[in-house]
Amino acid sequence: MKQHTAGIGKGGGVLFGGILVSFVVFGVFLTPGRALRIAKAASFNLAIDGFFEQGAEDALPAFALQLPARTPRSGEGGNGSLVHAGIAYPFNWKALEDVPEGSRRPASIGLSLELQAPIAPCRALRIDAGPVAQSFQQHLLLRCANTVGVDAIWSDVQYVDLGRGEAGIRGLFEWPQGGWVTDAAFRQMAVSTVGPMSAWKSPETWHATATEHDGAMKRVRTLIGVLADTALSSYARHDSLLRMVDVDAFLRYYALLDLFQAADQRPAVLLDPERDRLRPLLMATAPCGQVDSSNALRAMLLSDMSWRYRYEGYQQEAFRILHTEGFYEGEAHRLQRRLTPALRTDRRKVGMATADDPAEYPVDLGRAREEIRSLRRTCIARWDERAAATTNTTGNGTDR
Amino acid sequence: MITLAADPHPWAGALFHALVELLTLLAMLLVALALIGFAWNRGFRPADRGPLITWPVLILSYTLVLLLQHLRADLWPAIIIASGIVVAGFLSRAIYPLALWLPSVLIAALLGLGFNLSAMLLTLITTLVLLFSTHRGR
Repeated sequence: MKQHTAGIGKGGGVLFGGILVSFVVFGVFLTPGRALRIAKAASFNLAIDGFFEQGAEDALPAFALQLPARTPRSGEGGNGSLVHAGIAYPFNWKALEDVPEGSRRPASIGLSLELQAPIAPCRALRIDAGPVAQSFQQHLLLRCANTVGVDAIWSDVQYVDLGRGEAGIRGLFEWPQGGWVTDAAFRQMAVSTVGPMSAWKSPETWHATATEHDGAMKRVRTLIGVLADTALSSYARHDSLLRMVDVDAFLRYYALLDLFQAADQRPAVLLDPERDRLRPLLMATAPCGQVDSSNALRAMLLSDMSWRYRYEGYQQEAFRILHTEGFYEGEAHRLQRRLTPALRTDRRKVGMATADDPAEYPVDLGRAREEIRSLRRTCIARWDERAAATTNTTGNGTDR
Repeated sequence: MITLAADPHPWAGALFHALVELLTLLAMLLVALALIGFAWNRGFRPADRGPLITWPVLILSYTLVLLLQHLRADLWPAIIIASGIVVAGFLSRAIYPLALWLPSVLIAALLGLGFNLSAMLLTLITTLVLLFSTHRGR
C-alpha cells in the first residue's frame, strides 16, 4: 500500500532556513551571548521543566485570585475575590505598576480584603509579580529584620493562582492600610508616613497614610528641614534629632541595611506613642552592592561619633545573629527547600535570563534556583570577607 | 546603587524569547512525530514507505499545541482537545498516514498542556506498538 501524502522535506528546509536567519538577526540585535542565554532560559523552561508533572502546590500555602481577564495598567483597580479552602473573600484591588516594557509577567497588585483571610495576618497586601529571587530576598531580609529587633512588615512567599491558567510563586507583602501594619509577632503598629526612595531630601515626596497621622507628617517635615539646614551647629542638630526620632531604632535599622548593603526603597516611619518619637519601619529594600551613603538621615546620624559607636555595636550584634550564629543561611536554606517543589510546578516563574539583563522573562528551574543561590552566596561571601578582615585586624592588634 | 542599564531593545528580547518557545514546542513535537512516523513506516516495504512527518499531521498537531499553551483557563483545554480528536478522527478516514492522526493529536495535547513526561511515555508506547504490530494489521 503506497502512502500518498507529501512529507515536510522541501518546505521544512525553507522553514529551517528562515529560523536560522531569524536567529542571526536576533543575535545581532541582542548580542550573541545574551541571545544564547535567553534561548536557554526559554527552551529549558518548556522542555525540561515540563517533565515535573506532579502537583506540588501543597508545598506552599496556595490560594486563588479572581481578577479581570486582561493585564491591568498602573492605577487601574476593581473588585475581585480571593478563594482559599473553598471560601471566597471579596477584595478591592489596584494595579501598583505597569508591566515593564518587553516583560511577559503580570503586574504587581495591591489587595484590600474586606475580611481577613487565613493567608496573612493583615487585610491589605501587595502581591509582587517580579522575579522569584527578588521576592525571596525581600522576604528573607524582612525576616532577618524582625530577628534583630528592627520593625518590619509581614511578608511571605506563596503559590498564587491568578486565573486565566496563570499560577506561580508570588511574594506577599503587607501594605499599610488606614495607617496600620502588623509585624511578624502579629502586633499592630501605626504607620504614620510613607515616602519614596531618597525621601529624606524633600518633604513633598512624603504622604500620610491616614489623616489622623498629620502630626507625624509635620514631624517628618521638620526633620527634613533639620537635615537640610546647613547653618545648624552640630550640638543643635544632635539635640533636634534626639527630640524627634528614636535614635537607637534608626541606628539598628541602618546597621541592618548596611549589613545587607541595601537601601530602603520605600521608607516608612511610625510615631511611637509612648516615647513620642519617630521610628523606622522596614517595608521594601533594594540591593545596592554598597552602603547607601546618599541617605541624608543616615549620614547625619553617623556623623555623630557616639551614635556611630552605637551603630557599630548594633551592626556587630546583627552580624553575630545573622552570620556567626547562622540565622540567615539557615533561614535561606529552609525557605529554598520550601520553595523548590513549587518552583518546579511554576511554569511561568519570572527571572532575569542573565545577571546583567534588566528584562524579565519566564526562566527555567535551574536559572531560578541559580538566581536565589547567587543572592545568598553573594551576601554570605561578603560577610565571610568581613569576618576575615575583623579577625585579621584583631590578630594584628594582639601581635602588637 | 547598582542599576542595570536600560535595555535598548526591550521588545527584541521578549520576541526572541517567544520565538524560542515556539521553536522548542515545534522541536519536541517534530521529534515525537518523527519517532512514531519511523515506527509506522517500518511496517511497509521500502518502496511503499512514506515520509516520516507529513504537513497535515504537523499543522493540526502544532495548532493544538499552541492553542493549549495559550488557552488554559476554564473549559478551553477540554473543548480544544475534544475538537482536535474529532477533526483527527475525520481526517484519519481519508488522509495518510491513517493510523497516526489520533496518537499525534494526543501527544500534541499532552505537550500543549505541559505534560512532557506523559507525552514522552505516550510517544514511546505508540512507537513500540507500531514497531511490534504487523503489516497486515494496518
